[in-house]
Amino acid sequence: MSTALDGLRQKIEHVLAFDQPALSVSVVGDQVMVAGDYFLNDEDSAPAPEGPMATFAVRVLFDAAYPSIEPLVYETGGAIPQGRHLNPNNTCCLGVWEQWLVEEADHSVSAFFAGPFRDYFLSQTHYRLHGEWPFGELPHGLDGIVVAYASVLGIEPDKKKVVEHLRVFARPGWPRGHWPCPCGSGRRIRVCHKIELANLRAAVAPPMAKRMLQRIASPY
Amino acid sequence: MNYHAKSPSNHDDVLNGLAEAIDIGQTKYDDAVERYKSLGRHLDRDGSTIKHLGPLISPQGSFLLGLVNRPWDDTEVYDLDLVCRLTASRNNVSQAELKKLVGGEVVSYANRHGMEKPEDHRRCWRLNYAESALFHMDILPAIPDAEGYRRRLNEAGYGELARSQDLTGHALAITDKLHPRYREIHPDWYQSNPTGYAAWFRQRMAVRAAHTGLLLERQLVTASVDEVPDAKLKTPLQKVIQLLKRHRDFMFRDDLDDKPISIIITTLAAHSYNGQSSISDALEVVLRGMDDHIQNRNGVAWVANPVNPAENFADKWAETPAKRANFDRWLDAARRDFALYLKGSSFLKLPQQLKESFGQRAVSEALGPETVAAPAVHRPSQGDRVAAAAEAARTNRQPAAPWQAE
Repeated sequence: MSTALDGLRQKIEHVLAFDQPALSVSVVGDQVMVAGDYFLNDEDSAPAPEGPMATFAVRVLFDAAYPSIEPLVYETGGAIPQGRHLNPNNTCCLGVWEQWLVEEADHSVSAFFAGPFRDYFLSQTHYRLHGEWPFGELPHGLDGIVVAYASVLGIEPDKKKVVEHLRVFARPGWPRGHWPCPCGSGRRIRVCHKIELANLRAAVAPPMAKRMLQRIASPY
Repeated sequence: MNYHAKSPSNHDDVLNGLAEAIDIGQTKYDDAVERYKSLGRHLDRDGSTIKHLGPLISPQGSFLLGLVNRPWDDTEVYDLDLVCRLTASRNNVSQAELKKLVGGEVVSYANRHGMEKPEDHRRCWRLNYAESALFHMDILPAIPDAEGYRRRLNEAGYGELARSQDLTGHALAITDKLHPRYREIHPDWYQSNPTGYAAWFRQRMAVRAAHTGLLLERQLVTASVDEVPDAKLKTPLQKVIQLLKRHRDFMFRDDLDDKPISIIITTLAAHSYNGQSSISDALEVVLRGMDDHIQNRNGVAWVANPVNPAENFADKWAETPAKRANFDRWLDAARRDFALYLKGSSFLKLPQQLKESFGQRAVSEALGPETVAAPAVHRPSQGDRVAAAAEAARTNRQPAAPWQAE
């Protein structure tokens, strides 16, 4: 067993200890598997008299390269019907992974379970009870990716503009002032969105921009 | 449960109920106190052969700490550990002589009360009460020895601890048949400090008031440290330890030799506890953190006696690895079983493992009559609760919108 994988297993065990007593953690092949019942609880630690808001049977597969590689989350109890944010391969769609990587600073296992993972099951429970998605939902397929990336970039959800921005960030070196501004104004960066681009550049480094471009080219 | 008893309305109520149901209880407790006081009066009566040594009987161990559970199996007996302090000098009397002097009076007490002959154990005398009483008392002869105790602490590099009157001022030299100089008149005796440990424990069990952050010592400082604590007033730490001990007793009901020992559970729990005022918070903090207080001293697992850190309560783990493995196994199981209740169950639904650990009687007492058990206060509907949780998530973070794949 690789040390990295075993280290990840221990980290996950530590995060889930006590909070999720019905989830077990094990190394399966070259992944860490979390399986069992997930208790959806309130965020504060005091136990609610009626118990968890909901319980979901889940299986989660972590790659040793987490968080670079998105964990695969499966709901295994049949509680989530097709059409409610399941991917074509039956994994749960927790949102667009790159959006989380760019917008949140903390990518620890603990932040994953407290963030996208919990939000997914909370929004599923909310939809079941109230018929609406509390955190909104992204459009189907590629359009959803574009909306998510546009939100990261703070621009309108236009595929062409998103791609142009990402191309600027994917090039090595600071966005040069004489480059054309990706906003499409026809002006150079130095007289257009210079400050905005400089700020974004810190969040979207070239490898991330390349990764986002690849995903637009091939969403799955 | 009495018909007028309050029905539980949350997890804390049920855990408090369980702790109360497994506690020795007031009647048995008063009975035990009366028995050891009676023995004390006998040892100090006019005509006693040790009256000139000013014998003083006091409890030690779980009785002194307020941690006595009813045996999980009602046919088992309560152990009541006592110290018999004597004003004597190790320059005039050997351990063997002191043991014999005390033994003579313990035997005369047994004779007077028609009890069977006391047993001569390694360190103590054991008095067995009639079967119906389900008691035995272990009486450890001892001589006050704060000075010697402090000297050894200083030698071991614990000078600051040595200067604490509360923690070291009641240390004892004790009789032990396995001591190489047991039969000689010699100042070298084994030492023990049950009163110092109790003083440390009482400091640890102070409750932090929710609103002020101040530690409340309540009844803890009012009584002399040698007095047994009031059985009715239990702190969250005491209740948590009693719950954990019961869980341990059930889990190791068939493996009495290598089960995790109470002093280790008590010490680690007391270290982890941080003044939580609710029993569920206390239980969570203790279970999450207790193994963090097992030290590693050059590869040796060390559960230090807080009033003598050179003493390792886990000294048997090295020679019997099963003891260490059992401790780890027990802690995993306790975490899982109590977390399944606190994180995964309604307050009225105890997980099967806990039901078995605590037994039908305690569970019924804690849950109350089924027909009336219901949340006493208004609780939001599940829909409102989920909506509030979603609102909280939106306030605290930017939850990701799920993406509707094609």
